[in-house]
Amino acid sequence: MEGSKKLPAALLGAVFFNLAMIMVNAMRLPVLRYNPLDRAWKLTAVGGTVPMMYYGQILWSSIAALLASLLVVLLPARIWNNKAVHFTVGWLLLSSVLAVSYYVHANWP
Amino acid sequence: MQANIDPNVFLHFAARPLFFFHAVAGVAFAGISAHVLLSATRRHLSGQTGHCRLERFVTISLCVGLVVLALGFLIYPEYKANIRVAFINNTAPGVGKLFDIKEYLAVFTLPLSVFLFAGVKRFCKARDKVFGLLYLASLYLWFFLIWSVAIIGWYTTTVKSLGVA
Repeated sequence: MEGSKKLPAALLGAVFFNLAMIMVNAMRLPVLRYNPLDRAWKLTAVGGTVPMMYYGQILWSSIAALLASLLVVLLPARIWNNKAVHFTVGWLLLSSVLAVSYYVHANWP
Repeated sequence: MQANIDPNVFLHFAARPLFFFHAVAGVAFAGISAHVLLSATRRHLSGQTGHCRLERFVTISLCVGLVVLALGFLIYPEYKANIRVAFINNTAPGVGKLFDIKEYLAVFTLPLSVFLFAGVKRFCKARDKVFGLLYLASLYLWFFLIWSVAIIGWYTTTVKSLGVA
């Protein structure tokens, strides 16, 4: 990857990872769930207390991050001026705070 | 409680060493994050532009962070089946919820780690002041998440660690 595209690719991938983590849970999308007692994987939107959706959420979000990074590779490098980079770092901070707040709220004891 | 332990859970036989190394790597990650935070803050405040040792430590922190996450992923089935379901859900559900928060905070350190790694060269050149401030803000958020994970993880471990004898 060109040096000038490495930072934007990482940034956009990171933003999409955070946003996808929120969307997957908020929209109740089907995710891979692993049941450690049955030792079985299942792609489903609903699960009980035992099946683990953690891996599935991270898998979808990683795919979203990779696709976003790929988009940067396909776009011309000239659009990534200082302002665009600053704007995307701002989005990374915002999406991180949103994602953390969402999951803290969703799992609050 | 011992009667509820399922010995056939994935990597049950290796749970103790995996958990030990997960904790060791976690402590190392927290330590490196503090070093990176202090070094970057000092560099930014002093306006240094020369040789940047920060690059090496940010790279190490990304690698150690990935190791911590990978070990955590490996012992998660053991925790879920033999600790959470067998013990914590019935006796301390609040601690279980706190553990879930810790898991998500941990995973949100990853995108920040990737950005810190990709942007460290630009930060070290110190030509772009706005980027320097944004990079530092990300670094402080990253540090806060790592230390929150460490503290919550330490606390939940005092309730019940592993379901192995």
